Amino acid sequence: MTVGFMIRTGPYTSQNVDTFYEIAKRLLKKGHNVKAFLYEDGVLNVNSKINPPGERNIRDRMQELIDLGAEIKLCGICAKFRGQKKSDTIESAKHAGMAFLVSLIEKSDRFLSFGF
Amino acid sequence: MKKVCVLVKSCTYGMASPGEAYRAIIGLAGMDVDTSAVLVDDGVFAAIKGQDPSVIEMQSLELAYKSIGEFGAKLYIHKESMEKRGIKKDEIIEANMLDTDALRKMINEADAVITFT
Repeated sequence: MTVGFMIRTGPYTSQNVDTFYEIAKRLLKKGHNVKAFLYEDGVLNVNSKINPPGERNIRDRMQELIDLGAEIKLCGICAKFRGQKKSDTIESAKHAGMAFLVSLIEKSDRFLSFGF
Repeated sequence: MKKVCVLVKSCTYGMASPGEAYRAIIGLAGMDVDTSAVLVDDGVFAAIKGQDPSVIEMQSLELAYKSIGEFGAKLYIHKESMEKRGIKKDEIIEANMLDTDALRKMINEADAVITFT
């Protein structure tokens, strides 16, 4: 099964991305496919400069999902609005546009949207 | 073709959500996805005619939502949300009205639901 996610909130303010991480990790470990589109503040979850002393590192969690096989892409325009350049983003998370969201929805058996 | 229902629930300009929802709506519809946009709860304010947000340096959501048909998306307004806020039909842009039962049906029939709160 392929499960598509849309994440619209950033790290540490809400639990959304943590919930996404926990669900996605379990799906990947059971052999399912995970695709995610980071939209609005969601792009900040793959900021390579995330550095929380003594706390869970959301950037590392996103990297872990990618290493397990998840395809995670971020909205390029959202990143531009927030001043997050490609050099500020973990390398394995690629910039994309609405075309990726469309293909994600088209190819997913389930679609979950996390926002406010 | 998959059906996508986009729910716009927050008030104009106070949150980025109605504007971001608009971007998602035209992006999806522009790529031939069957997209229905529903203004519900405070989201109905996006349909009020005569908005001028130039003073706060933002783009008009009235013009934005007025244009989504050109991209192939359908615009719906939740009737009860509008009535609850004392908004009359002649005060809003052209849109399809739907009641709670119709909205429930639309959500049930959609392949993907994206909520912008």
